[in-house]
Amino acid sequence: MKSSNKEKLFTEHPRTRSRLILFSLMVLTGFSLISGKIAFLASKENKKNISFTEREAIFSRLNISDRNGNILATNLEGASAYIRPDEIQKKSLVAQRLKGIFPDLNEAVLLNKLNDGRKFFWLKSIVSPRQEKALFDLGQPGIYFGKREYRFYPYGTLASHVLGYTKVNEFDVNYAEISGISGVERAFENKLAIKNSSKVKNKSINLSLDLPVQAEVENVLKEWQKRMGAKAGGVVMMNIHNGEIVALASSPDFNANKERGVLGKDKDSSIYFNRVIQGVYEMGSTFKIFSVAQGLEKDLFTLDSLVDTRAFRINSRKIEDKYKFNSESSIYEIIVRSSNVGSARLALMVGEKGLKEIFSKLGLLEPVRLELREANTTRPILPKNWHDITLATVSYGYGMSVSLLHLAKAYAILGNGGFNIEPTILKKNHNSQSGSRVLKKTTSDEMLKLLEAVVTDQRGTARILRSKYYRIGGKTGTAEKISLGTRGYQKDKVFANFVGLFPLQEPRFVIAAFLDEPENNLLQEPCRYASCTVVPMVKKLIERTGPLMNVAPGHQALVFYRGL
Amino acid sequence: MLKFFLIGTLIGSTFALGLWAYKINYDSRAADQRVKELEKSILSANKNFKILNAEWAHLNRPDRLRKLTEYYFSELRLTPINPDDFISFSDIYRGQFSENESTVLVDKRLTGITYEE
Repeated sequence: MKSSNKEKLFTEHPRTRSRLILFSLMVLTGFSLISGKIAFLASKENKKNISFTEREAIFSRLNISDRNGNILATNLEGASAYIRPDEIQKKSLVAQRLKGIFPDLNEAVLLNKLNDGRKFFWLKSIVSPRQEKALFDLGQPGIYFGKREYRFYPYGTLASHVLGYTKVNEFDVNYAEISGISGVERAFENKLAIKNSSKVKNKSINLSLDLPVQAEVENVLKEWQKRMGAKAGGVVMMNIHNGEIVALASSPDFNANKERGVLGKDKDSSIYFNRVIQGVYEMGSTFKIFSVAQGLEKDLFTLDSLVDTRAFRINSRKIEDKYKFNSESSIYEIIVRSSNVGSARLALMVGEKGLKEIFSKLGLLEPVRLELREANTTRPILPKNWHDITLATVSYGYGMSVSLLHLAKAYAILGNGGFNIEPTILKKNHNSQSGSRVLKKTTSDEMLKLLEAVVTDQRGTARILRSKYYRIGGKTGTAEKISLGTRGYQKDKVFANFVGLFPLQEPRFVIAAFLDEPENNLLQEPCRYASCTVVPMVKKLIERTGPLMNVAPGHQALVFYRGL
Repeated sequence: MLKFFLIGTLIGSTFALGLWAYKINYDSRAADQRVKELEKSILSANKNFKILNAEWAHLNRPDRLRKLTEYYFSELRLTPINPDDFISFSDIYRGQFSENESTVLVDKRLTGITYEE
């Protein structure tokens, strides 16, 4: 009975329980769906906020600045203009007005583009702020602006060969990706093109160049190139201890804000050709001290040893000097007065193995390991064989071509106590040598004495360089240029160069300079030798840039007062 | 009684919690908006900074400065720096100067002594 009463009171449908469970499950799923959606929305909105700023800065590029933080290259924001023709009614009128804003546009082509049914075309990839305003003031529908970043070089032609230039790689309505084509812009592409700018804020690549020094070097170089009627010129100044390049100028140069051409086959006349790094030339007498260095290194002779300096023949080829020498001259005199015969004799004493050894120690047999690609791809042109006649001519700088940078590096090693260095275009934080020793200290000391003698000796080829301010040492070189037609050398076209070290009481800098086909007509008779073309230029360069680099004249403890 | 009180508190606290959550939500949205605006203004300030830096560099072009020094030479008498502009400590204390004004200026700063001509 009891059980039947109970059944009456709580009549449970057989499926009630399962329905209840189903119902609560549905409710639960519904709620979890809603909360899931809420969570999703919340997280999505958050991401949107971050991407707002990231998108703005994503296609930015780092600045390039000199050693003191002066900006040499920067990115600026501009605008590009594009057109949707189907939004324009009076097409011929619009074409006419656009022609008024951009005089370089062809009205007929423009009208054709407006009428041929396309949906979209670029008007200009970059418009100036003034043109942008003029376009805006037209109030014409169908003309749109897109964001564009472009590379700006505030100093124009300054250090153009070092900096290189960029091009727009791929672009869209709202961005353009810039990538480097040459120079630093190319060599440091990975560092410059930043993908996430929030992590690297306000940073730039600091070059080893010193803006005032670079500007002064370019100024003096251009002035002297003009004065000497030379078709090209180049200067490189480098710290001999850590290899920092303080100034590097190649003339003629270009303004990367306007000109962005490609280095074609005709390198010799191209403005994009970096003559200091990419140009390899026969250097002439600046090579003479290398065989001397090797002889001193191997104790074959001393600077006072006497060498036969009478003209002689190797395989019927006569080796002789332009000036008269005694039948025997000291090595000191051979270098100071620049004797080809003496130098050839020294090279034969040193031998093939010795000459190759010193060239390889000074890095003259391979490309200079500078960060720039231009340097890495520039191989010296070496002689095919090393017969006696080759040894003789190479010893005075014919039959082997290197770049001016090679020469600067070699002289730096000779002058810094004999340590290997690698030239660098980046600012270094230390001033000490990091390379290993390749030459004896005594060899380096003797070389410095010898190089100073070229300047201080009454008969020295660089005696014009004697300065009342600085102790300078160096070697001149004048190489006759190969005639392309006749395979011979041309007497009236020379490549004049000079490599020097200063200040000699404590050598800090190497300066290498050249002028291509110079002729000094300011003297009684025209002179093409380095001693009367490049050397006076170098004197001016050192006296102008020395104070800028805090090189005090003389020997005393000095105070620098203009900067107080 | 207790039952009513409990239910009342529960309803009240639910309402208060809801209100609080609403307020937090509202505040966070406002803060988000503010962050956006600030980021925008930082960005535009950075852009202006960049442009001004570039302009400053452009105005300080060595060839432009060279022309300006020539133009204003009569007033400023600026000349390129020269190795002669270095003087030694011994020269300062001995009082040997060129007729250069700036030498006397340095002398005053370094020694505190005024030399009379």
